[in-house]
Amino acid sequence: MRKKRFLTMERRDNYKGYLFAAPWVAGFLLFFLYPLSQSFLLSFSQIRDISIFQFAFQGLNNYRNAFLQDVNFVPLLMGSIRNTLLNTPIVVVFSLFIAILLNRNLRLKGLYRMGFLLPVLLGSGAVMQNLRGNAAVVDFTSGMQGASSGIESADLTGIGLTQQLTMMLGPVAAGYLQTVLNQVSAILWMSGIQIILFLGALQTIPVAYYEAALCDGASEWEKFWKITLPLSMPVVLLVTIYTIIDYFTHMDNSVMVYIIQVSFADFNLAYGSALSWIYFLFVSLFVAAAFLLMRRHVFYMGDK
Amino acid sequence: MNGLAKRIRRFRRRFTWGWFFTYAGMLVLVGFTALPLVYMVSTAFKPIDEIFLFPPRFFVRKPTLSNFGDLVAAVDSQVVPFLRYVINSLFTTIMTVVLTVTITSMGAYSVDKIKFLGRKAIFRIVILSLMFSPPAAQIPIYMAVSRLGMIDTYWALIVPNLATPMYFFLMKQFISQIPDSILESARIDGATEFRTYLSVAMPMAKAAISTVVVFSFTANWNNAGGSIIYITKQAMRTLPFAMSTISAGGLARAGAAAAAVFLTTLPTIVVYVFMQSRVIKTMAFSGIKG
Repeated sequence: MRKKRFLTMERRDNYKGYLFAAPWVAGFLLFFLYPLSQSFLLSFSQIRDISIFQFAFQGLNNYRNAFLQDVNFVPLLMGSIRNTLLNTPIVVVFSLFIAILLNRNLRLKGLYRMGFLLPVLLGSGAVMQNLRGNAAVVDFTSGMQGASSGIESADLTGIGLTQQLTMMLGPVAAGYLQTVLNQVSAILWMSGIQIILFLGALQTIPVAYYEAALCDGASEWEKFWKITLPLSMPVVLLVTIYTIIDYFTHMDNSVMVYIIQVSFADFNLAYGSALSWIYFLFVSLFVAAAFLLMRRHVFYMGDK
Repeated sequence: MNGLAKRIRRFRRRFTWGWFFTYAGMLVLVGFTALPLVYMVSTAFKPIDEIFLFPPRFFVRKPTLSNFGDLVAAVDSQVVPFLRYVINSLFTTIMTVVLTVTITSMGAYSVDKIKFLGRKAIFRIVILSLMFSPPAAQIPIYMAVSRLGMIDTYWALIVPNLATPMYFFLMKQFISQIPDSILESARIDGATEFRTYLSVAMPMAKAAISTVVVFSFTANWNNAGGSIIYITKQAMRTLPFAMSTISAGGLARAGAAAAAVFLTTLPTIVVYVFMQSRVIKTMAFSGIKG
């Protein structure tokens, strides 16, 4: 207690801040930043002996190989970028739409919320893989799914339900249905957290604004464009960035699958690290672009 | 009788096609996301001939518990009792969740509410690291764990998962909505910083905490990676690992695998249902602008 009297306010805040942040920062440095920097070093080298973790500096060779020699990487990267650019706006608009619906006085709200969050709960784990595995066991006769849909959508629909529908409906109707289902499920599967974030934002908008608009005779449509959207712009930005990152770093993303394959199946760790860093650079470019494009439309209400 | 007629009339007056399509659309979408869950549950109760039925059926016709019997049989033939895996999983997951929430909320609180040097730098680094794809860092993480002497201890399943940038980011976004003036008044009333954090800020960040609990529980409960990489003793491995060995049993074990999937998913759903009412309800409160 005595000692504290000699600390200035500013210094005391510093100490407190460091004390509070220390455990997290320590974990972050040790198990995130340090491995990251190691992988950065690794990306410029070639492994000599994996058992004692010895590697030799190689300059930009790995990076050069990624673009000039590897026939798989660039097409996969392009596909991943295209996929993200196409789907991000859809996911953002869809989840805002659903959040607005959920924010109204619907019956069975809890059920819908549970429903939209289920993919988040199921999709991340061994369960999904196991369901996929089961589907593969069940579906040993048909190659339809792999043929008609791209790598990513096939993965996202996963569960093998579409094949089951094919069995019931016949191939023609099921072909159309499958395309639609693939798209819908791809979007549903990616928008659970976004809906939650939007719901949080919508509930912070003061009811008084809507009442004022009601008195002035505004329609629902006008209320959306003049009140709801402008006031939730900060979260729209947040959700957009989250969605971009989520799409790029999802474990089903074809580039991610490729990086994992290169690093662990082929055990070419150095090259895998180089690919990761190239990928990281592209992802941050897109996030920065989204940020710059949307910044002028975002304004913050109140003191923040 | 009269009451029913009245109800119908009231319903007629309120009925519009807009509402009809809203409800219908919602139910269809929810039904769609619920499909895998329903499929999982129904498969767990399918007798073996229905699992391999071609064309496959979605719902179970003759529900049976035989898959669970198979599971017990499959598991009994292993060296380690099944319950041991469950306990390992529960212990490491709960420890991870509790510690994650504690250190993440403290870190996020300090970055947002204590004005100390370097807090902006910390947050920027967190944002940047959100974008990095982690698989390439896995081997260096292993090196770090092994140098700390944590191989073959429960710590190896807990400590590396604690400082996740995503949760930090989520937590910080929520905490920044807490008005500074409330914390300020607590400090003026003589609360220490820790007291302010614990008794003022944390209750207002319940939504964030529940969200992080749900996500971190799901992620760690389902993660088999750790116990494969860091653990060599069979008795210390976790449930997802045990599950993967069961489903690796191939066609003969398909029923047991379905039952195992069902049992493994249950806790996730329970945690979510338990937390979800808080997630949404408290969101409304935590969002109040000062």
